[in-house]
Amino acid sequence: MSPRTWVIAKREFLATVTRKGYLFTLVLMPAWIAFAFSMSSFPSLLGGRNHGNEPARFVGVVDSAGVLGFRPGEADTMSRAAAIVAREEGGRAKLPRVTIAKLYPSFESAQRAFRNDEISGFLVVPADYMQSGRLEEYRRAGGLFGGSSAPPWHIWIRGRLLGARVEPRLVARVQDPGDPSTHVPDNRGGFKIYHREDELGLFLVPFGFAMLLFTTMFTSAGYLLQGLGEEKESRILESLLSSVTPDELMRGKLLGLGGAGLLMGLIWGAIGLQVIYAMAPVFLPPPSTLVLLFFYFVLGFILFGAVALGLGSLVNSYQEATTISAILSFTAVLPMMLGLSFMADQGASNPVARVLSMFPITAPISMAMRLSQGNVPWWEIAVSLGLLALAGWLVLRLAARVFRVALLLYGKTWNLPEIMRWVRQG
Amino acid sequence: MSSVLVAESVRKSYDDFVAVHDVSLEVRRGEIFALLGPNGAGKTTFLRMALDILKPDAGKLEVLGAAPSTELKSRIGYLPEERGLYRKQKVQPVLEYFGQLKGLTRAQARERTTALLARLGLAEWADKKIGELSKGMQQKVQICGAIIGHPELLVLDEPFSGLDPVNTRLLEEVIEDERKSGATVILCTHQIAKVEQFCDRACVLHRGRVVLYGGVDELIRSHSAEAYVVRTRAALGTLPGVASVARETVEENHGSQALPVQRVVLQPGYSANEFLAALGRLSEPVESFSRERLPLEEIFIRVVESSGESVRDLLAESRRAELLAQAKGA
Repeated sequence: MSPRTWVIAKREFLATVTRKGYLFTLVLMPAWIAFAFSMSSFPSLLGGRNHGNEPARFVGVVDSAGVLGFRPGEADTMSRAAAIVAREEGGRAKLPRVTIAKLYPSFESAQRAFRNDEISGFLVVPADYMQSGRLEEYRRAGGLFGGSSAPPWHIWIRGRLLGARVEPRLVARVQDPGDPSTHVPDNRGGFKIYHREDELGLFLVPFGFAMLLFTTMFTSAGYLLQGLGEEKESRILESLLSSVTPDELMRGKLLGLGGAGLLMGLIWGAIGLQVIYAMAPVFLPPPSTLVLLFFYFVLGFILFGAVALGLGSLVNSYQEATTISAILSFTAVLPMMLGLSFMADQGASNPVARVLSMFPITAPISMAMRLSQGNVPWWEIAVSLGLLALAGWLVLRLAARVFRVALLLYGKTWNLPEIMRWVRQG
Repeated sequence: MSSVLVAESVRKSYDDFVAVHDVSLEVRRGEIFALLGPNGAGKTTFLRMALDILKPDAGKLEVLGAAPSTELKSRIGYLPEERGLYRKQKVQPVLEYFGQLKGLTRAQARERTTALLARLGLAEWADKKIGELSKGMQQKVQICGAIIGHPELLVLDEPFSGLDPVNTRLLEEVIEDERKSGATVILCTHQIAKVEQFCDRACVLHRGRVVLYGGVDELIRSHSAEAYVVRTRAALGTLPGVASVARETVEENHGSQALPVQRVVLQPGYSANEFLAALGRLSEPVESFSRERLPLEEIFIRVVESSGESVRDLLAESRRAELLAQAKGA
């Protein structure tokens, strides 16, 4: 590697990592993911809050069927059963907001109380309830998350239907029978406890790995393409080529921008690992996976970077480069989405995922997802890396040939036969 | 005198179009050499081959004693006609980058950049973004970039375009300084008057071929007729050896009548000394005597037009394009 290559690499690296766009991506992407994640879990967070200390609210009941066992003027605390369960579980369960149900003799009286804001809503149990199972709830629309604060009608009705016929503890269990713990086969032929959160982890961790690889590779490749477009547009290339060879320029750009992508990946990776460590250490990938991800990044970037360089030498302006960059990213994100849907089914051993991880264009993303799920045979990793390296080498050679010829061609429209001719000339 | 660049039957084609057609020429160490020709004559292609940006299809090319190669690039400075800089970046780091690409260490590049910016009157713009500079200033930044590596061979393609008269003079001084410090200069320009003023030798390319080549004075002498311009009232037609006399219009000079200008062509075999001796014997005063000197541009036009091409149109087109480019840049 010539000293000039290092000079170019250093310049490209520094010019990229000080770009506003790079810094924005570096900071905003984790912030955006954190925001999206918190938004998606917002309703469950609301539902999971301890509302036991909030002031009680009142709701009305019109029992036309007479099955709830209400006496005139009686008021019933709807959360009683949940409070019993919480007490029996040693206070671990979250206490719901205290809701007191009041009996109203008719729809009109309940409606009047609702309009006077004496109750936040009311339930009508029609006369044919036992036959039809039909219930009518009247309340104000609650907006996006309104459902999470609705009174626990079903649980409460179960309790009221059983009434004094069974002991309160049984009523509580009927109302909340509990969740079974799930056990799944482990690697040693036994079973391990399967946590509900595992489902989220099995989706999020491979997706996170794939996103990390995709974003870092394509951010760098995109900058490579745009930088070349800028240089072609500003006609600086001839000055540069009087000092360096096209190959030195190409290698320097690949190194510099690859380094910028790697830095982004390392920072995001470190943040991601910290988050996983803090929230679900069981999903922490082993060091060998991280090493393999590094190789997939390097080889993947060489492949996509070479494509970007070849295409970049053909464009005439920054705008053209941006368009091609977007197309390049889109073609790579498609396999990622495909891979996700396939892997949700059978995990790392899904046949489609295995094929995608062998095909060089989709290999880095697919394998990143498979590796995070573990149990990928070593020979598949070796073949996948070998094919990726071979494809990278071939594309790099072809791109170098186009790069040498097309770099100083301005305003020229190109087509496939012409590119093939340049490949031969270069 | 050793050669810095030697081309022997160098040829380069793009598909069916021959851009450089069996060009042979030599650029000697320490001289300022003009490479001339209208747009599309093959100058840039030839220079790109000399700079190892393009490879010739045929012929032999030697630069600084060897075939063009990557190793030689650090010894050559180049100001391309297609100018370009990193517009979003500051002047100082861009020049330091160019210096490092020419093989200077970071410290050397910084020191040289500071010196050059001061030399070209750009010191206070060192921390400005290039895009904020005027076209003329950007041009000077590019010139700094071309000479930052202390080149042995300096190739300047249209270095004067976009510069005002003051900066043109400054650039002339810089080129002269480079020559004095041992650099050989190849100058491509449409301003042929500059060639007469500056260059030792010249080559004119037209449609990829050499149509004129040699020392500038020698070219002018060999293409100028054996004619002399004499300012006197005496009748010169009767002097021995005079073949013909053309009398020019008498000019008014500060109210007094100036002496008429007469263009005299001598008969074959008569020398300038004999004619000068005859002038000395005249009773009328002779105010001036000189050999007629055709402008290089005129020679260029005549030589190329002899191939059936209207070079005046081509030159006019070149100038128009240059003016348009300047207007766009301004």
